[in-house]
Amino acid sequence: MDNWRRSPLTFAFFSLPTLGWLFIFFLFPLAIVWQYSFGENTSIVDVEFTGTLNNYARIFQPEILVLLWRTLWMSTISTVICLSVGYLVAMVIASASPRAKPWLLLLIMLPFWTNLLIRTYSLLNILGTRGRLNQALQWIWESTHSLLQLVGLEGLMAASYKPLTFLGTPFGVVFGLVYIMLPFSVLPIYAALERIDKSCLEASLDLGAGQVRTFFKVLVPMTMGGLITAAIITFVPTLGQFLTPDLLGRGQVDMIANVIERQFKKANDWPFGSALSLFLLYITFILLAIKSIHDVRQSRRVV
Amino acid sequence: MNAQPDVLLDIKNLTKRFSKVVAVDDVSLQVGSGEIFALLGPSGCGKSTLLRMIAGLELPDSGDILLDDSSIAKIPANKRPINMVFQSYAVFPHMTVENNVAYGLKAKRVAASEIRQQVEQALSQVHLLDQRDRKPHQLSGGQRQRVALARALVMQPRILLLDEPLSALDAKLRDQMRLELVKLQETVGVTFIIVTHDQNEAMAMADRIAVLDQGRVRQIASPEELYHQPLDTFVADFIGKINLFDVRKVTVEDNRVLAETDDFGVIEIQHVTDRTSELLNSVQAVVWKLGLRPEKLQLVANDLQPTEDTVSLSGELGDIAFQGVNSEVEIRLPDDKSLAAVATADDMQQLRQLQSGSMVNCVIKRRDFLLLPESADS
Ligand SMILES: Nc1ncnc2c1ncn2[C@@H]1O[C@H](COP(=O)(O)OP(=O)(O)O)[C@@H](O)[C@H]1O
Ligand SMILES: [Mg+2]
Repeated sequence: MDNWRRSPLTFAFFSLPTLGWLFIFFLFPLAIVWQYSFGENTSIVDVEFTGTLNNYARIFQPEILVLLWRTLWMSTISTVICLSVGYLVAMVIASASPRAKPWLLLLIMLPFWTNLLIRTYSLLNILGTRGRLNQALQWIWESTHSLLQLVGLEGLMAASYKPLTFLGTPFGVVFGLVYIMLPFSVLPIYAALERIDKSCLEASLDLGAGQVRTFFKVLVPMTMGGLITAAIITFVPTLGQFLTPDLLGRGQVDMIANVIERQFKKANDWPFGSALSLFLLYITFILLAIKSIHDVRQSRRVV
Repeated sequence: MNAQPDVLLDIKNLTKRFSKVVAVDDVSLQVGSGEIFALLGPSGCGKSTLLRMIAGLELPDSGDILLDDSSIAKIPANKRPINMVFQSYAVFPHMTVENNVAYGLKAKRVAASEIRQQVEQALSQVHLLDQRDRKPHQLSGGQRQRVALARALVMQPRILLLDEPLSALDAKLRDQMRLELVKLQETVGVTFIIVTHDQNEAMAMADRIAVLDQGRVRQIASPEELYHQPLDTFVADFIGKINLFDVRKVTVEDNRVLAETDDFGVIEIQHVTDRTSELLNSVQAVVWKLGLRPEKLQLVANDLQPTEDTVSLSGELGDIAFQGVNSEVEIRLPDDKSLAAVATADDMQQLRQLQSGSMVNCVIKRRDFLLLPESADS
């Protein structure tokens, strides 16, 4: 695999398109954004690049900090839910029969191939005041009520169901984020589960540990690499989500990406938008650095 | 089966199916306290499945497993006083050697001070005290196996199960570990059940061996008995080498068992196994063979005449495989069959003067022939 070392020219030739692509569509625009982040609006359309740090300073004003904080905790909660649910789903797939596995994986991937907008709108249909979730809850409520009526205890609860509000609440947004990000969590965990020596789990049982101890002391530590990957590739895109908070949050549960979008559109403050974007990017870099430190440690273990 | 002084593990009619495959088929056996017991058989014959049922990792379809006369068949793996050394060792990769060994004791909620002491003792038993802080990836395969061994022994199991304990080691380490395992068993006194497909391994280590084939027990006996009195051609062939000769008819006259052969005329059988008499008394159609261990074929100078206790045979000298003290010599018979014989160092002196293809004579003592029923499917 490493004979490219011996023919650097061939290597350069074949990597040129990729590098070119990266440069034109990634690094170059990023440089522009980076430059904007040090600029000032002089008129509605003009930006002067003055090298000011003012845009970065503005991140630390209370309104933005509140939003950043909310973005952070909502992403954290979504990620934790995704990892927990994802772990269970991955375990189910990993322990399924070899014939069922590809189909289950396909089921997990299916939403990927559906437009994000369509998926989010369909969530509106589920989470709305008259949505499916409320309908289901209402049905449960009313069934319980009529059951209680049979035994004469109907006084315990009101006869009619008051629909719960999900849209425009953090719950609704987190629900949407989890729904969209779940596949990202499942796949790395699944891959990690497939790699481990299953007899370690049996050894744990054999040594007298119960299922719970085996899960937390053997299975989870042995799949830690997959869990960290899953955490990062779930958390980072969640930080930058704007469609989900926009549609499901009804503008009341904005996340930082909504503010960034507004800077480039309504507010027409590109320099500030750029500074905010890059700020998110810095957070991502820090997370990736942590991950690669872990990876290096891991690979030292293997060698 | 000869009565064991005290039966520790009693397996009764154990059967396990995997969809269509019958992995373990109506197996009954008893393991005595303090024994090294080997489950021996070709790959895929159900050894591991049987071992896993004893450990509780696999549930039997029918039959029972008794430990000290009480059934453990329904007790889950983590509550059985039986521990296992897995074929892959299954050492926990994220824990140090010490934590691996302490794992079971922690699960049992043994006091920390006691854990430290017991782990230390177990590690010194397997000569790993100086590696206690290492992670498994820093250890060699042999050392990892010792960790698995210490981890199981520290639990003070009634029975230690070992699944192909030597198969992953290289040849030299294997011989060393074989001796060490036997020594360790003598020190700790725990009953060992060892799974192996290698007959030499089983013969060298075990007090008794159960030979399995296609999920069934063929014979349970000591290594010597298996070698000298195999019950059928499968066991005879699996335990060491054997030369087989066709038998036309077996008759019983005045309690003498006589086998009629093309090669040697009528041979009276000296050692008649219980199985053989049982088959002779039944109406079952049996294909009989005469068996002869290679070392019972004595190579002789051309002019030696057979006596009434011996028969002779001659053939062409074939390949010679030098094996140290003795050599294995191939003798090709006129009918294209070839026999294995053992030549001592003295024999070799003479054989060296012969060319491949020259005629050699052999003498066989009549009492060395074994009468073996051909196993149905071998
Ligand atoms: N979990 C399983 N599922 C299906 N078949 C199995 C399973 N385990 C073992 N078998 C089958 O049972 C038979 C015996 O296997 P095993 O006990 O592993 O044999 P051995 O250890 O003697 O090589 C084999 O045919 C094997 O394919
Ligand atoms: Mg096996």
